[in-house]
Amino acid sequence: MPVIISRNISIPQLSYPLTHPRIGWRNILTDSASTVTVSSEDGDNVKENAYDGLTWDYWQPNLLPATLTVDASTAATADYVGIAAHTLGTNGNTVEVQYSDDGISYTTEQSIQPSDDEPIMALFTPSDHRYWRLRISGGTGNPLLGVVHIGKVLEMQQRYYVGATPPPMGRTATLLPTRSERGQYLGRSLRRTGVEAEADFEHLTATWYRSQMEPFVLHALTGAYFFAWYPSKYPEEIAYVWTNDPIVPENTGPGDLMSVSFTIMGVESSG
Amino acid sequence: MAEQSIGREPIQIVELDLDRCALTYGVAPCAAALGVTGAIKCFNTRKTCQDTANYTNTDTLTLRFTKSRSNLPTALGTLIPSLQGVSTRPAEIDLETGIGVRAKATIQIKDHPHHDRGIDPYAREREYDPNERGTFWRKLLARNPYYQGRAARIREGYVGQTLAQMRTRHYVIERIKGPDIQGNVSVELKDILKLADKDRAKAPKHSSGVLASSITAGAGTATLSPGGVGDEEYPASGTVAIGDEAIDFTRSGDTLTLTARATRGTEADDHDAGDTVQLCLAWNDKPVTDALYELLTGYTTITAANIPKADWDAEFATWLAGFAMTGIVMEPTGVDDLCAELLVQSGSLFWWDEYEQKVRFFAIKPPPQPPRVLNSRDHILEDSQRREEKPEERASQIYMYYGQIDPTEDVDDPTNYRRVRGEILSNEESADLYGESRIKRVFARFMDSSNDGQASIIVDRLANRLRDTPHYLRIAVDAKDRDIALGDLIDVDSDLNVTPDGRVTRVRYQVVQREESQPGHKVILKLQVYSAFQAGQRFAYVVADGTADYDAVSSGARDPGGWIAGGSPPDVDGDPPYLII
Repeated sequence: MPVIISRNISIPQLSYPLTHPRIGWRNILTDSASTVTVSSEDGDNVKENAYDGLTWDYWQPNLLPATLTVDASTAATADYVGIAAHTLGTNGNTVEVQYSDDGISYTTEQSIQPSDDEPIMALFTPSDHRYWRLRISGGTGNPLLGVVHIGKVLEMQQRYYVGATPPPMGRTATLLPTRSERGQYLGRSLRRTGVEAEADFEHLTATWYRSQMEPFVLHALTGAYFFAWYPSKYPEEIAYVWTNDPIVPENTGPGDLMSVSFTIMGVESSG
Repeated sequence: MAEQSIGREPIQIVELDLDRCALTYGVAPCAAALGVTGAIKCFNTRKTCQDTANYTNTDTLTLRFTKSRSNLPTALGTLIPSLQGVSTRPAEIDLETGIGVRAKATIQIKDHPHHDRGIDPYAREREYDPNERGTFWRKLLARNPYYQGRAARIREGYVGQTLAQMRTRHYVIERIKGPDIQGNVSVELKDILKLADKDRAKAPKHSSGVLASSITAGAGTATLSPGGVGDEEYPASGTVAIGDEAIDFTRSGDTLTLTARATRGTEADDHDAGDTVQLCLAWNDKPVTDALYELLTGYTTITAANIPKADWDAEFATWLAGFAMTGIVMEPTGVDDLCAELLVQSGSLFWWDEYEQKVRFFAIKPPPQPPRVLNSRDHILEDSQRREEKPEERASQIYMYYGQIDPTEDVDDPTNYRRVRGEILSNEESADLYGESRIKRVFARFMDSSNDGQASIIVDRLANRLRDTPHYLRIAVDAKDRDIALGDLIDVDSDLNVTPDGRVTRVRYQVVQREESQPGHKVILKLQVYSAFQAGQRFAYVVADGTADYDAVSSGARDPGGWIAGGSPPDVDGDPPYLII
C-alpha cells in the first residue's frame, strides 16, 4: 500500500519537498493528555493494542462501521496517518481519516482503500483539531489493526538516494533448499524476517538537526516509526521500522553541518 | 501453503496452557472484596485467589509464542514473538526395554516488558502501568507457580495454515527456569509418559493401613488401623502383603477376613501390631494390554482418552493372544519399570504419539501392508545418511526365566524361577563367525509356569533379532515426507546397504526416533533394522473361509492373502511359498 498523498496537500506549506523522506513518529494517540475511544472491541483485541507500538497485538472491532477516536483535549496538529500490522487489504475495508472540533460533526480528510496489508502512510495538509478519528467500513470482515499513528510528520531536510536500499526492498530472509542424495530438487523453505536498510543523511544544518531531528532520535531509542524514503517518486515504498542502536550524528565541516547514518529494521505485511 | 509447496514458509508456535479461574472478582459466587480480602484484585489464578473456596478452575489461559518474523500470521490471534528456539530430544523406541526414552523439548523464550492485556483480566483497572512493573515472565510466574503438568503444545506448520492444520506435538510442562538477568527463559516440556516415571507413579500405591493388633500365622481375621482406612484405601477383596507374606482377603470396614494365607509362593508367619498392610497388585491371566492399561490409568494421571484401547485390544487379539499375565507386586514399584517388564515379556513396545496424543502399543509382527519405500533419489537428503552398528546389542545365547517362585525375592535372580527357555546360537559363536558368546537374560515374573509356548516365541524372536549385529541408519528427509511417524515400518534403498557384489539392497527398518530438526522443512529419522521380519521375506494373511480359490480372485485380492495348499504348493508365479507363522 503506498503513501497516500492528499490531492489537497498544500505544497507551499511543506518545509521540504516530497522527494525528501518522511518519518512518522509522533502520535497523538499516545500523548498523555489524549483519550482514545473505540466503537467496539473484540475479545482480547482491545483498543490499547492499536497504539502500544507493537506489531503482534491488535485492536479489532466487532462491528462495522467502526471508529477509533482520539480526543487530544486541545487542538493538535496532524498531517499524517500511519497504519501497520493490519488486515484492511485482505478484508477489503475502507478507512476514512476524519477530524472534528466538537466531537460530533466530522470532516473526512482522507479516504483510503488498501489493496494489501502493507504499511500505510497518508500525508495531508497539516491542520489543528481536537478530535481525530479513523472510520472503518465496508469489506468482508472486521479488520485487525496492530499499529495506528496520527500526528505531525517529520520532513527530512535532505534526501538520500545513491547507495541507498529502499527499505521495503531490504528484505531479510532465511532460504532453505533441499536436495536429495542423488541431486533431485525436493523443495525449499523460507522464513521472512523483515526488512533492513541504511538511511544516510548529509548536510543537515545543526539548527535543524537540534530542533527537528533530535526529538525523533530520542523517540527512536524506544519507539518504532513509519518511514517513507521517497514519497513523490516511490509512494508505495514505505515501512514500519525501528532502530536497534542509538542514532548518533557527527559534525561534517566548517559550515555548521551535520550528517547521520542509521540502520532501520522493520516488518513487511501481515501474514 | 503446505509440505509440497516450493517457497513454503514454516512457522513454529508454542502453546502453554495455564489455569485460570472462570469467575469475576467480587461477583458471586466469588466473595472476594477490595479492601477486605485484598488490597488489589486477584489475577484469576489460584496463587492470587482471595476466595479459594470458590476458586473455579474451569478456564484456561493459552499463551502462544512464535519466532519473530516479518509476516506474523494475524489470523492465528495473538502470537507473542518472543520465541528464541525450540530444542527437542525426541522420543525413542527401545526394543530392549519396550518403554523407550521419553521425549523432551526445551523452549527458549526472551523476556520483555508487557502491558498485561490478555493476561490480567483487570489490567485496565489497575492503578499502575503494567509496562512499568516487572516483566512478562516474572509477573506470569509470580501469579502462576502451579504450572507443572499443565498441557503444552508445539505446532509446526506453514504461514497461511490454521492452527488445526498444523502438525501438533503434545507435552506437559515440566519446569520453567528463569528469567535470568539477560531475560532468558527456558521452559522444559516432557511427553505424557513422564507421568509414569517412578518418581511420580507407583503401583501398587503406598498403603497407610497397619495391623491394629498382632496376628498369628494361622489367624483368619485382621483389623486395620487407623480407623476408617479400610474404606479409604482397600477394595472389598484382593491381596495384601504383611511382611513377606501375601494374603488374600475380603473386607468389611476395617476388618479383613483372611481367605487364604501364604499365597503366591510366600510363607505364613506371625505379624505384629503396627506392621504395614500393603495392598498388592495381583494379576491372574490378565491380557498384557489390560495390565498395561490398568497401570497407566489406575496409577498415573494419564487418562483413558490418551489410550486407544480398542487398537491395543486388536493388536493383542491378532498377535499376542496367549500373553496373559499372572503375578504379584508386593511393594510400590515404578509404573515405568512395570510397564517395561510387561512389554519385554510380551515382545511388544509402546510410545507416546505426540501428534495424536495417544499411547501407541505395537506387537513385533510383520507389516500389515507393504511398507513405503525411501530411496536416495527421491527422499533421502544429501549428506544425511549414517549407518551405525551396535555390536553390544548382539546376543548369541537367549534365556527367558519364568514361573517366579517367591515374589519377595529379587526379580532378576535366576534361581527365583521354576523354568527357563533358552536358545544358543552356536553357529554364530563359532570362530568363523563372531567367535564369542553374548548372553541375554529376560526375567518374566508375570509369566507363570504354564507359559512355555509364549516363552518360546519370545526367545525365538529375540534370537532372530539379535543373532546378527543390529544396525541403525540415520537419514534426513524433506518435509514432504514428514508424515512418516514414530514406530512406522519402512523399506529403505540406501547406498550404505549393499550386497557383496555392490548392489543396493533393500532393508526394512522401524522408525525408532523422529525429529523435525528444522520444523516444517527437514525431518531426521533414526531407523533400527527390523530383523524379525525383513524386506524380501513374504507374509500373508490366510484368507477367510469361503474365499474363492487363488486362481479365481483378482491380483489385488491375492496380494495380501494366503491360501493353504496341501502337499507340494502349486507353482503359481515362480516365487517361493509363504511361511505360516
